[in-house]
Parts: sequence; structure tokens; C-alpha cells
Amino acid sequence: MMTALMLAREGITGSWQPPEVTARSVIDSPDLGHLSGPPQTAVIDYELMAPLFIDFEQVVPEDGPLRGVAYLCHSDALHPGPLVELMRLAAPGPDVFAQQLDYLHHYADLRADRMEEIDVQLTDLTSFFAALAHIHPARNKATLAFIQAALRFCAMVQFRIKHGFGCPRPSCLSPQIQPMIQTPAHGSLPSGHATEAIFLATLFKALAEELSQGLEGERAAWLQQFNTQCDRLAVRIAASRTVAGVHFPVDSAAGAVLGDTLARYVLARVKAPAPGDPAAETPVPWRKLDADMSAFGAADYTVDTMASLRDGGAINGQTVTTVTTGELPLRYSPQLNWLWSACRAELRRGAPEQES
Amino acid sequence: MPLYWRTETAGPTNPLPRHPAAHWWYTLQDEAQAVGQGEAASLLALDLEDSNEAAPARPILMSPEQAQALHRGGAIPDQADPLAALLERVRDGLRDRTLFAPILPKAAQCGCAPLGTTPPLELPAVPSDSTVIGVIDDGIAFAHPNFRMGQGRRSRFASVWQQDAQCLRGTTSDVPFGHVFGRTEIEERLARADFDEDRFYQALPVIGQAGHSPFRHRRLHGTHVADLAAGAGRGDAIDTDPEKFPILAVNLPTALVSDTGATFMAGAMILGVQDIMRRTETMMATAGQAFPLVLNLSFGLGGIGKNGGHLIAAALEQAMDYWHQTHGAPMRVVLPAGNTLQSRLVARAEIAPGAPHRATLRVAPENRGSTYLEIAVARRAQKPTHASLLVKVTPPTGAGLYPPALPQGPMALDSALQLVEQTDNNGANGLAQFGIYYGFQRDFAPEGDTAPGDGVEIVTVALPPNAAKDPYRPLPPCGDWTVEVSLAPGERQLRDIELRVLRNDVPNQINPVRQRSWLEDSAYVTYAADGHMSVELESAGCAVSRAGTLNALCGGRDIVTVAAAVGNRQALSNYSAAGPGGPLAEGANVTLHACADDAAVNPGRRAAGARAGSVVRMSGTSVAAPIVSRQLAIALSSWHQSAQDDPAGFAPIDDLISRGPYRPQDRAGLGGIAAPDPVGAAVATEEPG
Repeated sequence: MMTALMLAREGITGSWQPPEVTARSVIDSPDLGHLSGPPQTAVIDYELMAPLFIDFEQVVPEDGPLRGVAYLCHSDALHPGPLVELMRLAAPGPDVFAQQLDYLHHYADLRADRMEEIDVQLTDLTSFFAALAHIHPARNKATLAFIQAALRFCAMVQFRIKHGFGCPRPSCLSPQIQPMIQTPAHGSLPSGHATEAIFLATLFKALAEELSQGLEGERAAWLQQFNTQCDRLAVRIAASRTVAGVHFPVDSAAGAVLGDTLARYVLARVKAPAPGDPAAETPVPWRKLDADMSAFGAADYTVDTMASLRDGGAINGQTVTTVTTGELPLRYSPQLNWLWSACRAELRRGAPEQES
Repeated sequence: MPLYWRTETAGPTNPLPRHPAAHWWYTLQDEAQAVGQGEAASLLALDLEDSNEAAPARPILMSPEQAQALHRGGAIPDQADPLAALLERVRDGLRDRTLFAPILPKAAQCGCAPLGTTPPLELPAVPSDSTVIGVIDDGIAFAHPNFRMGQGRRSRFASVWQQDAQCLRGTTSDVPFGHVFGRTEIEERLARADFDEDRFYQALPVIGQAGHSPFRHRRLHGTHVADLAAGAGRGDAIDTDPEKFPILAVNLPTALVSDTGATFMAGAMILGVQDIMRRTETMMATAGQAFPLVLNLSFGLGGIGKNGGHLIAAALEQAMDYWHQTHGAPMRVVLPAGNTLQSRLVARAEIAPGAPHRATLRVAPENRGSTYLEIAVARRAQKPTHASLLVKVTPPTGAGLYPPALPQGPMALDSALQLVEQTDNNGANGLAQFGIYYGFQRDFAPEGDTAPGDGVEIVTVALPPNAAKDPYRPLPPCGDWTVEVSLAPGERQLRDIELRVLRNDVPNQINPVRQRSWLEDSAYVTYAADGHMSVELESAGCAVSRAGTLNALCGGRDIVTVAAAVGNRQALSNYSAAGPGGPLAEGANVTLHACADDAAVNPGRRAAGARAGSVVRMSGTSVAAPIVSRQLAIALSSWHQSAQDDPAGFAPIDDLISRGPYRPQDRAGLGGIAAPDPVGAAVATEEPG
């Protein structure tokens, strides 16, 4: 091809006589539609990741062994506003993992039942959530691009925190677990599948709000059912990892806290109002989850305990998650806004204001 | 290690009939307890001749201490009537009319204080023109929407006895173990769980082993069966008037069902049947009206009678007689014909002086169940003092197990001969390698020319499992065991004998590693000339037979025995067993068939999985049986508008038949009920509004 182009130019270009014109630079265009692949994902990933940082400390409580604590913080050097602690997550001590070991034995009964799901979910969770609505690669290009971008962000954070905690896997504690899949090399808590499952559940609930605009009738009931299915699916995906023998239920519990936090953060970032919008003057309210996984103890990860982790309810009489509300001042990102707007437009296809 | 033969003979002071399964359990139990791994079993005693028109025979529950004392021949503690009276009759030498069945050791006994504040069981008031459907199975997911009515808010179950649940009512419970969920409690639990089935089952008391609730699984035998028998969504009278078809269920413990040697089956089954009858009677008393009752038991047993099969069958026939005579309403018991046509579990031979029969019993490796081979003299007679057969068992070649010479025959009846290995670590009783039990089973349902006391000699060979979760003992070898059956010394008359291996397999979802034992014969024809599986009842020159492979629970004339047919062909399913019944059950035969397989390439029928929206496919005669139970229940519901003068003869089974019969009749009965619509009925479930 290069030779052909070179030869054709030699044949037609003639004498060098450039016209006297200039072309405008497109400074920081919000529209990434002309990009694809790594150039597009690099821009989005940078925008999402830049103001986020993760800190760790080691804690030696009076009544227990060394534990890790992770802090997820937002601090934007280019935007006035204090550092905001988005989430605090304390890993459990070794005693909790020992208490949780019996679950690996009990859940192993379901290995034959869950085999197909576990296999597919090694690499794909999105398809399960997408099945809750009419999502298709052709009709939902921007939606799926948004989901993929969000998942990359989630993965980056979750792997950093996993590495920070360095928690043991179930097969470290017993040779009788014999997982039905390869135990990943990285640490167990928080569970990546549980994190991503709740992350996707929370994102898809936001997507469903948009989708519901194209429906008529009992929209609230449809949304409630959609949300219930999201929660149940997320818990099932996480529990399947315990069935497979590679996670403790407490790993999934920690994943629920992290996944919920990250999804709300992503949604807040992509929805941040533009300068000039009156809403831009007001910081976004932020629910900070402060979770201590030692308090989860010997509890199981179910729809009920997941809800308590997310909302701050008691689990077996213990407070695991404390919820505090604060403010999150956010800088507008044109590129993230473009991504969300394109996604929203797709989802609202069929809504009255869309079609008129 | 030294091997020796140990002989024990039952007698007046140790009258426990050497029910081989129970005896084998006690042997293994003794060993396990000696090394701190076992739990003592309690015992159910049922005197089948102690029934009358006023009430069916009531079982007596003996504590583990009483059971052990009975087994060992010692003084039985804490005797009070009716146990004392039963033991007196037993000591009179009439023990063969009494069923002694061990109860699963891990069943949660109800002797302790109540847990929490569970109120007493209340049965619902049901319409006076109700027809009760009883289902005894395992894994009936009783929160499933297919078993609800009133827009999903109300349960169709009047009661569910979960036999292996924690006993919540303690000493106030009216069952000896487990917990009975009444309709009110089920509905309250549903409401508390916000009608979420996962929440419902998570909140139940511990069932079976903690953390291993059966309701977590997707495929549950009992749910599939109960859905076919009584579930919603099939567009028939049960959908139109669900109130009038209350369901009474008994969930047998999964651990019990997985032992198809049926060590614990008899006791649990009989108690379950009586529970359903008792609860129905309570509802009838409230309604002031007798109800027709259809009872579906989708279980099959192999063997003849010593495992309790004949006794259970007799108990079922007695129950129906009692219902007809006492309440004047119809009762039907529906059983599957069995799936063992191809399983090589039955053989017949003739033995003569100097001409024994040698059978090869192949025991597969990884066999986690005991293997029982019953050898019956196919002839009824009065009970002799000594056995007319002599059985010699030779372990597989190369197993390194060399028993000393057998004691000289003839063997006294009611004696147990065990090959025991003496070890340093396992106590005075040593380790039993296998056992040969010489017994006699009295006919409890005699008909025709049978004289009172007539019965059948049965010798049982019992091999322990050759694989165990946590073996505390060396295990016997797998391979080909040779069982030589000859006439006892002094016997001159030819004898026809029948050999039956008890089933030793379970549905995959319970125990995928369970292997079977079967009879090997080189003349057995597996495949027909056209390449299909042969269904010929006999193979030339072969002792192993497909004839008479019927479920040993199918006793006599009144039990409805259902075979399996294929929907899209004029044919029976190639596993569906053949009648007639074995010794003591010659009157038993296949009654009719129902479609248990949609097509040869698509076996099974679809019905409810464990959760709403889940549909699973299962096959077998235990799928055919509930299809008939449902039709019977609908037919019997018109009893209330009839003259009500012939409970036994009302709605004859012929009325249901519209297909076949196919050949041979030993497998097909009178014919079959209609195959399903190929499109299939829509499964409509109601969720709470």
C-alpha cells in the first residue's frame, strides 16, 4: 500500500504550490466518536482515573492480628475542593477466613448445578446483565462502550486493592476444597467478580432509569423488578465463586462495598454538570461507606446481607458498614459527558422526547 | 489377620429378626461407634397383625438403648405398653409378623424441649368436597409457586412433614422426629420472606446436615413429582379448584433416600403414610365428610421381602382396606413399576442335589452402598427349623480374602453367619467382611390357598460398601463375587430359586459416584439383532432375567403400579420393569403405563425445578406414577357427587386408559393414559399481586 501511494503521488502531484489556508485545532473535543480502540479508551480511562487515588494502612488492633485498611479518595488537583474520602474498607483478620471456611464445603454441593454459569462468567458478566433488557452491540454501541470503560476503571481499582490487602485464598487453608477452576494468582479480598457484579448492577439500574422513559404504563413496577433482578443476579454471580471454591463469602461482601462505591462514583463523574449549569454550583451529595469486614464474621453473602452492606443495616447483630453523607465537588469532563450523553440517547430511543 | 465365621441365631431371648439390612447396619454401627464415628439408631416396631377396622397398626418407636438391648438379647429398659405387649407377642415366636425398621440415626429426635415458640400444628379447614393428594418423596420444594393458590399468597399444602428438619416443637411435637409445617406456618414464612423462595428456604430450621439443605439444588426429584401429581398450570380441575385438592407431603431425608438398600426406608415410609392418613382424618373430622385420598410414592425397591418391601406393601394394602371400610371413601396408592428392566438384578434357577447354582455377583468399585443379594425359594411353605438352602460366598479372585471353610449345613433359620476379621483396634466384635443371613418371611397378605403362617425362605448375602468417605476399616474388594446356592445336606427335592440384587443406584443429583452391583451371566443378551437395547424378558440359557423386575413395594391387588411409555411411539420405555412380582408378591403386576419420556431422543418429562421459572426434565417410572396420581385424583373428586357405595371400585383404572396395551403385558398392564399434547401445556405460575 505504501509503495502504491508513493508511486501515485509521484505521478499526479506536480509542482509544490500549497494554498494559503489554515486549519483550526480542535482543543480537547468532547466528542470522541472519531476515535476508536486504544486512543479512545486511553482518553476515557485517564479522565476517570486521574482524580482517584488509593491509600493503605496497616492496623494492629488490640484484640487481633495485623489487618489492612484501604482508603479510596477523590482529589482533583485542577479543581478547588478538599480531598474526599469516598470509601474506607478494612479487611478481616485471619480468624474470619477460618470461620468462613465451612461455606466452601457447603457451597461445593452446587458445583454441578452452576458449572455452565461459572465457566461463562470466567470472562463475561456483562452478557448476564444485558439479558435483563434489550441490549445489542449494534443498537447500544455507546452503552456498551460506557460499560466497558467503567469496567476497566473498576478492574484497575479492584486489583490495586486486592494487591494491597494480599488476603489468602480458600485453597490456602484446606487441601479439600479443590476448586473446580484455577484459583487466580492474586489475593482473594475483595472478590473481583462480586465487585464487578455489584458495579454492573448499580450501573444497569441507572441505565434502566433511562430505558424506562421509553415505556408506558407501570414504569415504577418495571423498574422495581429490574432492580430486584440486578441485585439477585449480582449476588448469584458472587456466590458462584464460592461454589467454585475460589472465594469466601466475606470476599464477596467486601466486593459489594467496593463495587457499589465505584459505580456511584462513575455515575457521578459522567453526570457532572457543565460550567454555566446552575447545578454545577452545588457539590454532589456523596454516601461514604465505611466497612469493617471483621464485623461480617461468619455471615453468608446473600441478597439480604448485600443490601445491609450497601445501606448500613445490621448483619447478625453487627454493624459492618457505617454510612455517612458528605459532599463531592466534581470537575466537569466534556469527554465523560459525551460518553454518558451518547449512552443516554441510545437508551432513550423510543421515549417521547426522543422521537418527537 | 485371622478370619473366622461368627454365627448368631435369633431366639426367644433375642427375638430381633435378622433383617439383613438392619443387622448389617447394627454391625457397621457397632464398629463405627467403637472408633467414635457412629451414632446409635432408634428402631421402629410395627406389628402388622395388630390392626383392625378402627385404626391402622400404630408403630412404636424404640429408643437407641432399647434397640441395642433388643439386638443383643439383653433386658430391654423402660418397657411400657404397647411395647411390652408387642415384645411379648414377638417372644412367642411370631416375630415374623413384626417389622423392625431402624430409624436414620441423624434424624432430629423430638425428645427435647421446644425450640423457640413455634405454635402447635393446625390443619386448615378445607372444602367438604375435597380430594387429598399425598406425596411422599424427597426434596419437595414446598414454597414453589406451582403449589400455591390465591394469587400466590396461599399454600396448597395442608402439611409438610420434613423428616430431617430440626424438631422445633420438642416434646409437644406429634411426630417422633423432624418438623411438620402446617399451612398457616408455610404462609407466614412466605409472607416474612416477601414471597422470595431463596429467603424462605434460608430461614427454615436446619434440614439434614447443616449447610447442605436439599432446597439449594436446581433439580429436585420430589418437586418434579409433586408438580406432576398436583402442581398448577396444567389447565385441569386442579387449576380450576385448587382449594379442593389439598396436598399433604412428607419429605424423606435425602440421606435415607440415597441408600437404596433401603436400610431405613421402611420405617420412614410407614410413618409417612400414617402421617398423611392421620392428617387427612383430622381435616375430615373438621369438614364432617370423608375425603378420597390418592397417595403417590415414587420409590422403587429391589429384592423380595426381607428389606421390608413386602411388609411395606402389606402395610399399604392394609391402609387402603382400612380407609375403605372405616371411612367409606376411596383410597389409592400409586407406585412406579421400577426402572430396573436392564439392570440385571434378577435371576432364576433350579437346583437339585449335587447341582447347585453358581451366580456371579459383580460389585463395581467405588460402591458406597451396601450390596444385598436375596435368594428366595420360590415356594410358600410353613416355616421350617432349618434352611433348605446352603449358600457359599467366594470373594473375587485375587482379592486376598481367603475365608476358612464354612460351617457344615444345614443352617438353622433366623441365623446370621458373618465372616469376621479380628483386628487389634476394632474391639471384640472385629470387622465383618460379609454376611449370610438365613431367614424366613411370613406372607402378610395371604390370598387364596395360602395357609396361615406360610411364607418364603430367604437367604440374604450382605456385602458392606467398598468405598467410604472416611474409612475407619479395610474395605471388602470389588469384582466378581461367586455365590453358590445348593440344597442343604439332607434335602432331596428340587427347588426353584430366585435371586434378586437390591437396587444400588440413585439419581445423579443425590450421589453421582454411587455404583451398582448386578448379576453377570455370559449368556445375557444386552442388545437385540437390530442394535436396540433388548427388551426380551428371557435370554436363552441365561439365568439372569428381565421378567419379574417389578418394584418390590408393589404388593398385591390394589396398588396402582405404573410403567413408563414413550410419548411419540407406540412403545414402552426400555427401562420400564416387568411384572409379576417376586415371591410373596406374585399378585403384583403392572397396572397401566403413562408417558414418562416425550421421545426416544428426548427422554423425560418437563416439570418444575426447585424455583419459580425453573423447569427440569426427569425420566423414569417415578415420573409416570404422579401423572397417573393426578388423573386418579381428578377422577376420584367426583366421588362426592356419586352414590358413594363402592369406594374400592369407584373410578376404575380402566377409565383412564386410552393407549395400547403394548407387548408384553407383563410390562404394559391394561394399557396407557394418553400421551401429552406435543406442544405441551403452558406452565402458568402465579406470583403475588
